[in-house]
Amino acid sequence: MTNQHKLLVKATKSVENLSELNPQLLREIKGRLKGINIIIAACLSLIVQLFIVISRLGRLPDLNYEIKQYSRYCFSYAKSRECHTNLLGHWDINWQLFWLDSFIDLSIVIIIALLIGGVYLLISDLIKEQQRGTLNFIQFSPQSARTILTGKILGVPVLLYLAILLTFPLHSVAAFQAGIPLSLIVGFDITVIACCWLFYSLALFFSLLKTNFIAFKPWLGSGAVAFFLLLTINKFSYNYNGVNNNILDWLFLSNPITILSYYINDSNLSSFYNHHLSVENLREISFYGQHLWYGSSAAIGFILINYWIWQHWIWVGLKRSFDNPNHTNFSKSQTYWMTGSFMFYALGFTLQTTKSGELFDNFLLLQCFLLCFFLGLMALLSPKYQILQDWARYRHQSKKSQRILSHDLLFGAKSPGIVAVAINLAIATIYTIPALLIFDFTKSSQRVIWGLVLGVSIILLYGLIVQFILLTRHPKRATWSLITVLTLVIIPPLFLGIAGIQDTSSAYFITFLPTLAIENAQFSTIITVLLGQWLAISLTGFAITRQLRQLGKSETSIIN
Amino acid sequence: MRPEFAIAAYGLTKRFDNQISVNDLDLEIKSGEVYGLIGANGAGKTTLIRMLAGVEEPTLGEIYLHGNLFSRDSNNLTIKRRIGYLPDDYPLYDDLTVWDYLDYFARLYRIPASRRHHRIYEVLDLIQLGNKRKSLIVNLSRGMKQRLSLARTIIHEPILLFLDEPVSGLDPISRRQFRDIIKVLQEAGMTIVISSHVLSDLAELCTSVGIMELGFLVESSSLKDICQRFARPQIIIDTLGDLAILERELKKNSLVKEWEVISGSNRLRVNFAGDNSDSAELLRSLILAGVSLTEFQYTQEDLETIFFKLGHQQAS
Repeated sequence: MTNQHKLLVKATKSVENLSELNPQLLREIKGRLKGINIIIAACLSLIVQLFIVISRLGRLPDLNYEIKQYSRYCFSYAKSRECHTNLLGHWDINWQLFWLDSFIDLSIVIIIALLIGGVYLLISDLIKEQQRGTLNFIQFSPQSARTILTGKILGVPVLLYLAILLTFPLHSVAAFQAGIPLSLIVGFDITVIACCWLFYSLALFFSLLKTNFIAFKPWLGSGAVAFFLLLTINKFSYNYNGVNNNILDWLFLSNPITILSYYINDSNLSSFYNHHLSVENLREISFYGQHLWYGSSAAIGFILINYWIWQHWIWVGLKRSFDNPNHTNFSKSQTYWMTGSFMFYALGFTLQTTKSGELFDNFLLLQCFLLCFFLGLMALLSPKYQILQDWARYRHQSKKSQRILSHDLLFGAKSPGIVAVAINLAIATIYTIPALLIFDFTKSSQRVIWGLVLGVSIILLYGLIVQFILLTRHPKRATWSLITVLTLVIIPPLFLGIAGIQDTSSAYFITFLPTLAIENAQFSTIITVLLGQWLAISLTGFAITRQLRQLGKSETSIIN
Repeated sequence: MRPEFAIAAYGLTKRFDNQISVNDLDLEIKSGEVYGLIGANGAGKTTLIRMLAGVEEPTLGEIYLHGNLFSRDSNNLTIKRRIGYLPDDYPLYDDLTVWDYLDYFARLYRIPASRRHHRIYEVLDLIQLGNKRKSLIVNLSRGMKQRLSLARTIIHEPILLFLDEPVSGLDPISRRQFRDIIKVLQEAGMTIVISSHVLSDLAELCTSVGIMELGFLVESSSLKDICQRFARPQIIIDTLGDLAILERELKKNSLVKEWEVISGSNRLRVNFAGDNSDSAELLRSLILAGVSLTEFQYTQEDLETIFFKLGHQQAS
């Protein structure tokens, strides 16, 4: 047996073993790795690589002209980058910089292709499975959700992986020529893989969410990733102040492109990058006052931990949604822990400064993030109308533990989610208050705490309104609840802004950021607003209870 | 729960919004039975099968499979391996070949590598698609796709099979092939629940029948028992001569209750209160009266007639 033949047998055996472990992976590979597809993927990969190299070569000085030339890659003491020839008459080129630029270009292209392309492919594949009805069969097999979905993640974008694998030689050559240490290259690769895992898991989770706009989902998902990349790449690549020292840094650190700053720093070519992609910016970021992004290893480590925590929560939801699509995406008890994780991260990035003015602004931004998080949580915790109706009607016939209303509202899988949202809001508030007391705010800490309480109450009110609409018989209740909540969030501040009302005015109490109005408000006004909010909360709560009672009433059966 | 029942369901109810699709249904099916579900569209057959197979969660009620409480959340792998479910729309992967498709599901159901190859051949033989194993699914006919779907359903050797309208839209030859396959599966000891509108097929295949109407299980019993209880004897008579003479002779027999002329012919369907020997007596009297007969068949009302009777009673 020749060595080649032995290798082939060994490779076939490895694929066979792998497919025993994960049959889904084998199915995806078999469906996709076909001759013509492989050729197209390989050609596209080579064309893109060629384009990157040619575009960089085009910036080198022209050998055919002897006139004065300027290039980024010419060695020069002057800032003008005027090109000079050496004793042999050749242009004196800074090849290390040339390769570093090529490496960065290729890295950015790889990240964009992997994240946008992979997310699109995964969402459209799972949607196709759902529409075709084949997902049910897979869900009913004895394979675990993790096996099936891992097979999807590894198998669906297999052609994309092939294309990226073909960039490996150029990527490696560029990295070594640029003098980037091997440890950093490996660190970057691991970060990109971890980032893909997180985004792909999120893509699968998004696919499994029950929504009306199924056909639009792949575009929406990949569009959102494109927007995120555009925002973060632009911020780190071209912005002179890449770091905000607030919760937004959390978002920017989720992009593996961040790591590129450390390459530039380690290659001693940082002067060529002026202020962008500067590691100095990253070093300013702190988490609970700790500058964790000072060195590259620690930075990579903490980025990986961040990815790990969030992929953990996504997989909790994924597993639940995959195993039983009728369930809410998270159980109520899971969300309590998830809110804890969110607050741990959110507050860590909020408390980056001790300057009271900046701290107050950071706190306002935290409240915006809280609003977004809780709007998402409301959607994830809302059972389907049918489930709620059955719960209202048949709860008394269910298991003993489910018959204890308080227990059912706090932990039950089929009860309305609003009490759990309230508990989550309480967790967020309790976690934040000590920080507000410890740190120095211009406005007194007590007032900022009132701002937090008012903000949390208004989020609860939004939640109740959403729940109220979701319990109506209107066929488009989900759309209406979304429209209503967006109107409540966007219209009041927009109107006040257009009307030119100062953001410290008491009118801002009706917005989702009542903290703005705290500064000039009388204590009695704050109490009145709070009482008003709670009156609205009580009335909406009462209306929901009535609605649930109505739903629970037996009706004459209309048989289909 | 009594484990002698392969499937047992108690108080099973399913609501969709304000409509009750399945209403407080109790059902017990013994091991090895072929249980046919009959009912008009919207009677709740599909919902019931989906609930029994674990696809749909019941609003109320409990399902036991071989004595074990079963629900979608139970995540009991042993039970999952025992179930095969074929929906009425038999979704497939068009980009795979017949072999790869079955191989994929065999792996999903963890059939050991040593047995997988043999099992796929076995199933392909059963569904008569051995010669198509390398064909892409997209190129198969509807009947072949339907059979391939059945092959996918049984690849892991389930002991409980749920088939929802498996012969809908198939031509008579494909239907016959399908019936033959199900007979083989029954002989292999599988418990099969099958819903169909083709009642003659069910009458041929089933050992027990459940009649559903408006979400209720109107009747559930062995086919023999149902026929004994509900099927009245009838005689089909065809004459070449004058229909009036035949009718006059029938009036003379006290066991003849009523009859109807089968439209466009000289055939009569006669409701008869007597047994087999009484029918022989009637035949003799007709011959003696000089009625020229081409057909005289003593039979019983078929499943379709029983279904119409029972379903209609419940609906009323």
